[in-house]
Amino acid sequence: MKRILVSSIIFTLVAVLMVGGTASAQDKFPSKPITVIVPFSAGGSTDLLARAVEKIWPKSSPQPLVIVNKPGGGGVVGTEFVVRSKPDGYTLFLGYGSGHDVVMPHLQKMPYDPYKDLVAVSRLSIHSVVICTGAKSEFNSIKDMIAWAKKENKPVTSSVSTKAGAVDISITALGKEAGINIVTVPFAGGADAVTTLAGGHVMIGGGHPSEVMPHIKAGRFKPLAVALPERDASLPNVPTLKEQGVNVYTWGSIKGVAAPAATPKEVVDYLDATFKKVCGDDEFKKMMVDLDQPIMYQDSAAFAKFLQQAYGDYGKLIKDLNISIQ
Amino acid sequence: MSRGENIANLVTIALGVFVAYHSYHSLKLGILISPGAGFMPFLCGVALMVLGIFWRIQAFLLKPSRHADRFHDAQVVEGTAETSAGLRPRVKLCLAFVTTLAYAFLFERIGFLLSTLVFMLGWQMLVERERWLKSIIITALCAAAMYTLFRYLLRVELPSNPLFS
Amino acid sequence: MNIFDGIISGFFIALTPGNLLFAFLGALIGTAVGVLPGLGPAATIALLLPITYSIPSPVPAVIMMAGIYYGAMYGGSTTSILLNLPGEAASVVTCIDGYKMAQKGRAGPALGIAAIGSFIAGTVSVVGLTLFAPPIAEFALSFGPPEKFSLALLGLLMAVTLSGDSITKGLVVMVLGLLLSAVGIDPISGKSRFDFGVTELQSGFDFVTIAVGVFGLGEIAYNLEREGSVEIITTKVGQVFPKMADWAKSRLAILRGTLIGFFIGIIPGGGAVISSLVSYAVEKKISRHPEEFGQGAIEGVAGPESANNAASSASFIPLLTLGIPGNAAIAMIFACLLIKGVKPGPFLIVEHPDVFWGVIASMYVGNIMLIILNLPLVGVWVQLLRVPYGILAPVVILFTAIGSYSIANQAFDLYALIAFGVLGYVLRRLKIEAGPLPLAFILGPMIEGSMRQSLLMSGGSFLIFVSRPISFTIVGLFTLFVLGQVVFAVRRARRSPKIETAV
Repeated sequence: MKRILVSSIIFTLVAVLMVGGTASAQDKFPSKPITVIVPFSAGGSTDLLARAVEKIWPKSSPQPLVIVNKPGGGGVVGTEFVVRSKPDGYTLFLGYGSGHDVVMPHLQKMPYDPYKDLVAVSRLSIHSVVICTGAKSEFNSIKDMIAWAKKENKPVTSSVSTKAGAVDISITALGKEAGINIVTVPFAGGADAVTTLAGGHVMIGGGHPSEVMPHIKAGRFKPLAVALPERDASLPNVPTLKEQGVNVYTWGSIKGVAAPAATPKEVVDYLDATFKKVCGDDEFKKMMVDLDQPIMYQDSAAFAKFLQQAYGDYGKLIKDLNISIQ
Repeated sequence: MSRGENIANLVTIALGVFVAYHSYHSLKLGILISPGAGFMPFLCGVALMVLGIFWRIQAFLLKPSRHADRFHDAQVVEGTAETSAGLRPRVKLCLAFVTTLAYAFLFERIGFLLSTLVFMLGWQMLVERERWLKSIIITALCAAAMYTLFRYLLRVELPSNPLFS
Repeated sequence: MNIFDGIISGFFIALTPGNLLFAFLGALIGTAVGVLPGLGPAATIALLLPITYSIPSPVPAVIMMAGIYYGAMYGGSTTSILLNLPGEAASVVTCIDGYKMAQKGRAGPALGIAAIGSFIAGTVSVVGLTLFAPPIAEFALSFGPPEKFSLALLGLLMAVTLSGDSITKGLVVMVLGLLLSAVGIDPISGKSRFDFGVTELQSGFDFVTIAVGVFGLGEIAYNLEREGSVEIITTKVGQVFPKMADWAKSRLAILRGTLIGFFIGIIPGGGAVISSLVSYAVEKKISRHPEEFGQGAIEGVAGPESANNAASSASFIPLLTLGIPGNAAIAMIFACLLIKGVKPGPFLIVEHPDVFWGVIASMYVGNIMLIILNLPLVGVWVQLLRVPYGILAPVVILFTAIGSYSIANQAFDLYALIAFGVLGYVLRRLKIEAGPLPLAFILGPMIEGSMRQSLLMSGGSFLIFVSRPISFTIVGLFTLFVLGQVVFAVRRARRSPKIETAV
């Protein structure tokens, strides 16, 4: 008798714990923290953008964002994780529009479709591609580099963040258009690539403004060009490739937010509206200036269209210049 | 060579062959200026084959010596003796394995708390052959402690019971 | 502001009650995190980062996170010694002799010397950091892909010294570790390798799953079979603190480990892991009784533990002076600073001297706190071994399972964990030392990636590895080491032909 009593008490306690522990999913969105996957390593430009957003987000939303880094495969690993997660709005991908979304699909088979399997939520920023060289380098402009390469008939080595990323393509396109051989050496992310250039192990390197600015200010890098149609606002003194006679410009690396394709529209709209509020926040604006990242908000529909255009533009660039993966 | 070592050796060589073939065929070795994805795995596969063969040769040349097992303690009970708990240790190990496997299987299906309960209970009763009352008490306490630790103190995201929500 | 002014002002900042509290909190959380397998310092710092947003000044935030970072180093060695569960890569080497010591009832001295060695190493390397930071940082920059390749290869070679009797079998295990690191998407070509259609494999395996599975679960499986004799571990608790003899043996090991860890730790990448490996190999070579290594030689714990702590302190140097994070946990600290508007880099010392010196001073303070926290706890931890194995084993399995699961929130990792546990069990039964496996796994990407990058840079020429001074030096050391091994083995074979030659 006593046994039955004791064991039933214990089981009841446990059952109570069980019931109490389940979170109800019927509450209004968002009812629990939202996970934001950054498919690049911590400390990189995308990661920093995500953390800036994370800081300001609670001002406009009852639930916080939780940033999770999932680097690997140039961004594919983390993105795929989001693609396969539940489309309930609690798992998002930040970095939508980076190299692996707009460049990679042209060059190799992807385990998912970046446009069918994901829905665009908001665009946050665009990170342009800046080409730099070491302070001690004999190059002072793109022209110098091209002249050297043609004279010496040797390849120019360049560090890039990942293979088939925005930086890689921009520099490869530069080489093709100028008729010289540039060997791009991929690294495990922007920080790694920039550090290698800082050590003088490669001749030139490509990176985003937030990655290269600290080194430029420290006098370790000389910026040679930006790969944009017009000059970048954070680097007003750096000429574009076009100005230097190389007709190459790219969209750079676009940074937006995406959710799995089947996410309900109300959820996407809510997220979009909140991101818009974050982009308009003064503290956020100041943080982005400190990070050397421009704020370029675009809403869900416009962003989706923009991505299609960027994707097409990159495709055209690759076809025109006959770029392929070895 | 003991039987176990023999199998391990053959597996090593077979694995080496498979890896080398797969690397060469599917992953591409690339050229020296730009080694492909298969370059290093190929070398590893070849290394496994070579090492496996070397291993076999060494074992063959070895004269069976009775030097004490220096590296690992000599207290290994080979799993055939009966123990004070009355359970042959091999069986115990198998039960532990199955219980753990069940935990992995149930974890996402019935939620963290339930599967932890099932696991602990199963372990106490099957592996340790404890009395049922003691098992239940241990299970309840451990599960509650772990739940508190992970859910509330560390805020780790763990699956809840899908049957309830 | 010269160095002495800097340090003094730093101490004024570090010793305020608020910052002391943060340092203590960080150390406490870090130790707890290090003890729990699966939750590494990087993940913890990431979890706590949002909390730091509400603190206005960056100084307390960084102090706390730094505390977490090396608190985790201290904690990681605890589970390595007691349960053969490495908390992270740098603690794997500690398992080898540390766990053996615990099995012989010497868990107390092992834990104690690990704590003491870590404290000394941490303190000395912070001094080094203070005095030599900028030039050393520039030195770190000169490590490009060829140097990283040579260094990682050297580390791998050192890992062979962990293979006990049979080098052949040790090499097999090592190659297996390298292959495991190749599973997943190859960063350089973008191709997915060895995934056999299983989506979860595309992200590759996680170090924790492998190390904890092979070491921890394998050990549990092995112990379950040894019913009855498992009690041996728990009854011979023995001494709680290291004896004078232990200290005498370990003194120099700690000193050497500190130096090794400091210099190798500055290099971004596998700093702490490689330094613990090199320290172990050096201690084994120098020792007058090398056969004790692998059986519970205290130098095998003192050296590597000092090395990995020195390395973790040294890894702050590239961050504070160059603005380059050397590993994931430091990268989080880097992100936190940036969010707060502090740009780590060469101007940090000028723009925010309070942050720079405050953090450095708090590292001294943190080290002291950790030793105060940990030494008394040694007695407590040792009591942990007294828990009946019938409860301890499943609880450990639960902890490791949850830790593994939380890496990617997929059940697949649980199955992987079990599979590695089986592998660990098999290796144990075959009397093959499992140490080289997780170490090769960690070093694999560095070796392969750096090699391919170097070849791209050199246009396919392998000469690049010897034409550059640093790489040449490392390759030279490597060759000397291998030659030394060969000569030694040949001599041993000649002396006693009947004893098995294990070359």
